[in-house]
Amino acid sequence: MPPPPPTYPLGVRVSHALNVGAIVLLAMSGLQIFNAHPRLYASDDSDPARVVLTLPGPGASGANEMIVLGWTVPTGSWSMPAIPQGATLGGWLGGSRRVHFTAAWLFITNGALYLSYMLAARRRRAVWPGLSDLRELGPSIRDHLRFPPVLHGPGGSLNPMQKIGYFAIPTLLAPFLVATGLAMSPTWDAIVPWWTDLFGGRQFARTWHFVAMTALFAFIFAHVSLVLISGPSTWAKMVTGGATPKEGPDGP
Amino acid sequence: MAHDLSRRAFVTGAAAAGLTAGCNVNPYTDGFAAWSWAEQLNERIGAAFGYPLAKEYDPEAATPDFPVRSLTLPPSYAESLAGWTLTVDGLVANPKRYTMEELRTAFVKRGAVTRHDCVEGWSAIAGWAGVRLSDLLDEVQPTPEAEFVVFYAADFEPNGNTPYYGSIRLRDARHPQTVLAYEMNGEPLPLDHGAPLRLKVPTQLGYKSTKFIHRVSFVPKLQGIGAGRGGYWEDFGYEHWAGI
Repeated sequence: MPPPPPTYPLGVRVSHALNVGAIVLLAMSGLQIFNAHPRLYASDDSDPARVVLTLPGPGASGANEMIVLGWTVPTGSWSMPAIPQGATLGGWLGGSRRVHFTAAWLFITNGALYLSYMLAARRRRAVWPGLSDLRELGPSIRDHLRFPPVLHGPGGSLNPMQKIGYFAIPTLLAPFLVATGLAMSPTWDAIVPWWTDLFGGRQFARTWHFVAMTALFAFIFAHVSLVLISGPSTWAKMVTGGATPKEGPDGP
Repeated sequence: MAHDLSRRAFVTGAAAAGLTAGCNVNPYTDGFAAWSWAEQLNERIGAAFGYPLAKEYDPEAATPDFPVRSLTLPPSYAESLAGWTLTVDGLVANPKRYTMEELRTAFVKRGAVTRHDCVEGWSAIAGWAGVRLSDLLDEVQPTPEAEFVVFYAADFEPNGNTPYYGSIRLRDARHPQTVLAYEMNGEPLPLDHGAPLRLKVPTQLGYKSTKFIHRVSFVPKLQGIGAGRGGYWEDFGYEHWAGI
């Protein structure tokens, strides 16, 4: 028997809208913060021997280059010393830090409320992946690569990829983003010394924070693409919540 | 880079204009001042955990090329240091003036190898040693009205003739790792790193660790000093409590 389709009560819709706002604020202000030192390291201090990313710009030799995972790549005349200003928020480092830390509280509070809702029985049955979802993952990936993709499981239930994504983003990726962000705080490092060490040191935590942000945006790209493909009936449900089917062969 | 430099020049110029006009109007900070409530919340949470020690490292962990971020020093600053003294004044029972020799002999040398976390994002490790600030507090005896310790520096921003300064709360001044350092990595403090005396607050971001200090003053409030937010960078909109 397929699990019930998830419902989208008003609280979930408001929470999702707040989350969209928080993520946009966090990403744009975060890129402005990154611009103040557009380099990432796999170390505790900023060890030039352990740079994992520098943006295309004048390198040690004077010629334009970028460094990706230890590889120095010549970039010819292409130079990108910073994220373009239009993609950032806050105006400068001071303003972007204010936006970032305020939006972080919105993200954390909203996320904690949603996580507690995920423990509710109906949500758990609809969203939490089980062993069968892992077994069905291969076919589910193939369904998504088709065009048009097969969007739902039987009876409007979530398919294995949806379940794994909707479960793992709030329970794993979002907490990881918060944890790696907190790991950069010198006071938090004093309060819980093992926390920053867990990620390989402060600069490594900054790198993980950036990697996790990129992973989140990869998910958002796929997620929004599928929402667009799924058509107007889904868009309407995002606002109204949609009525639970009362009848039909797969209805409850 | 040219774009970046001009933007920075604009920021400093605009803030300097605000400072000389006697107000703290700044096109960047005022736009987001309403967002600064998180700063108050974060400071309260940080303070609720008490005064834990920052991580300490072995001397070998010191970063080879410790980056330098300073404003401009006055001409012939290095030569003027022979007559350098540290003035300690404000809300204290015993105002004092120390020569470097007196600082070295009157106080036990304290310090630790800690990581310096810059607000820009980078980190560098170094050993800092000198006078533990709480030892100085015991000597000069701040009065109960003193809330903040203000550090006056010799470097300045030439366009607006704005001197660097910084301040911390008295409770952060009592932190056992907060030192007025005259040594870096076992050597006399180099000019680039704030000679002859700099503050080191290992539990907060680097802009709190004022360099080139010549005066330490105890005050009840920050209004009336600079643009009133407690520091050169704070006047531009950085947090006063820089624990994050």
